Amino acid sequence: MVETCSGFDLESFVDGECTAEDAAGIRRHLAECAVCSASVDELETLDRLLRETMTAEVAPRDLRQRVLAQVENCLAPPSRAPLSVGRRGFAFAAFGALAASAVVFTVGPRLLAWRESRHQIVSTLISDFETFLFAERVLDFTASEVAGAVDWYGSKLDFQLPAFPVEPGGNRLIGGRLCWLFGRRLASLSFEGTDGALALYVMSADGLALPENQAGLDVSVHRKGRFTNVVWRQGDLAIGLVGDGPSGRVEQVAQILLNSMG
Amino acid sequence: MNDFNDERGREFERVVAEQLDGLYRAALRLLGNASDAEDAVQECCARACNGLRKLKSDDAIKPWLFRILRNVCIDRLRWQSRVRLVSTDEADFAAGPDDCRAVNTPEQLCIGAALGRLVDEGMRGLPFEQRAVVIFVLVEGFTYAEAAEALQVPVGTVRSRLSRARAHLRQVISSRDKAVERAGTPRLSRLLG
Repeated sequence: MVETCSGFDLESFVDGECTAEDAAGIRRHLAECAVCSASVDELETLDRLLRETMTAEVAPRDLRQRVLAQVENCLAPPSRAPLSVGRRGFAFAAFGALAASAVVFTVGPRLLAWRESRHQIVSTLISDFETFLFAERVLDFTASEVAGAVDWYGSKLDFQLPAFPVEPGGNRLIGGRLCWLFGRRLASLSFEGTDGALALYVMSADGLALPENQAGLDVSVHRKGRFTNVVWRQGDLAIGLVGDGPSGRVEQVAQILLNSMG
Repeated sequence: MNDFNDERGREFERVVAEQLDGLYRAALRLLGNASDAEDAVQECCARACNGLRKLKSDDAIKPWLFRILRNVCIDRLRWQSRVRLVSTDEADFAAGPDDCRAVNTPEQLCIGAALGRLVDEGMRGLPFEQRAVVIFVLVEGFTYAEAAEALQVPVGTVRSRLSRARAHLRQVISSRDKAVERAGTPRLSRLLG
C-alpha cells in the first residue's frame, strides 16, 4: 500500500476518482505533508512508466486490416456479405481469399520443422482440407442437421459417428464427404462460419499414431500458415478439426466439440 | 444486421478502429504472446459483431468490447491448460514491446529496453485479474466504473485490485531499480521525469 496519512485515498486522487471536495482536501494536505506528497509523486511516476511502456505496443497493420474488414462485413447488408452458402461446398469468396493468402505464403523454418512431423494425422488432414478448398471440390452430401449427416454416412463407416452440435461456435453444418486416408474410411463434416471454413474429421483411432499426450494434456494444436489442426482422441476415435482463419476460433470450436462429443 | 440501427453500427465500427491498439495491448499482456493476442482480438471482434444487436442503446461500447476480450482471453487460457501447442509460427512477445518503442538515442534505447523489461517482469508476476485492472485503468484510461463494467465486478474490487497491483509493481520496479543504482547507473525511475 502507498504510505499515506490516514484518511487520504491518494490512489483514487491520482486516478481522478475523488469527488471535487475530497480532491480539494487532499491538495490542501499535500501542500503541508511531504510524506503524502512524495507518495503521490511515486504513484504518478509508476503510472507514467506503465503507460509509456505499454502504449508503445500497437496492433500489427495486417491485424487492423483483417479486423476492420471483418467488422465491415458484419455490418453490411446480406447482399454484401462475402460468404453465402451455395447448394454444395463453400462460398467462392472464401476461395479467393485463401488463394490470395497462398500467393504470399512464405515457407519459414518453423513450417519446415512442421513438415517433418512424423504424425501423419497432423499433415494429411491439413493437406486434404487445403486441397478441398483450393480445388473447389464439392461435398458428397449437403446437410444442415446432424440426423441428415448420420443417415448419409450410415453403413459407409466402420464406426458410429458420435453426436455433435449442428452449429458449434456459430459455425453451421453444411454437409460432408467420405474420405479414404490412413488406410481407412473417415467422415469429413464441413462447417461454415463468418470467419471461414472448418472440417471435422472423424475416424477410427485403431493403429493410428497420434501426437503423444503429456500428463494432463489431451489435445494438441498444430498450425501451418493460416490453417490450424486440433487433434484429439475420443474413446476409440481419432478426431481432427481443421480450419482457416484465426486459430483461436478453431480451438474454440474444438473445445465445444470435445465437450459435447464426450 | 438488417434491423440494427445504422448509426449504432457506425459507432461500433469507429470504436473498434479507435480501440484496436488497446485491445491488442490488453490481449498481449493478458495472454503473453503476439500470436494468441492477434487471435483473441479477432475472436473478440467476431463475438462483438455477433452480439451487437443484444447491446442496449445506451450501453457504452468500449467497456463492452474489453469485457468480451477479457472473456476470450480467459477461455483461451483455460483451453491452453488442456492443450499442448506443438508448433506455432509466431515469436513470443518478449521481443515485441521493445522493438516497437519509439526511442532516439542509444541512451534512450537502453533505458527504454530496461524499463520495458522491468514492466514485463512486474506485469507477468500479477494474477490475471490484477493485470486486467492495470491495463484497463492505467494504460487504457478506463474510469473505475468502466473497468468494473468491463470486468463484471464492483467498483470497490477494481479499487482494491489496482492497489494490490500497484504495490506489487512498485516493489518489483524499485527492487530492480536499486540494484541498477548500486551498479553505478542512474535509477531508471529518475530518468523518466
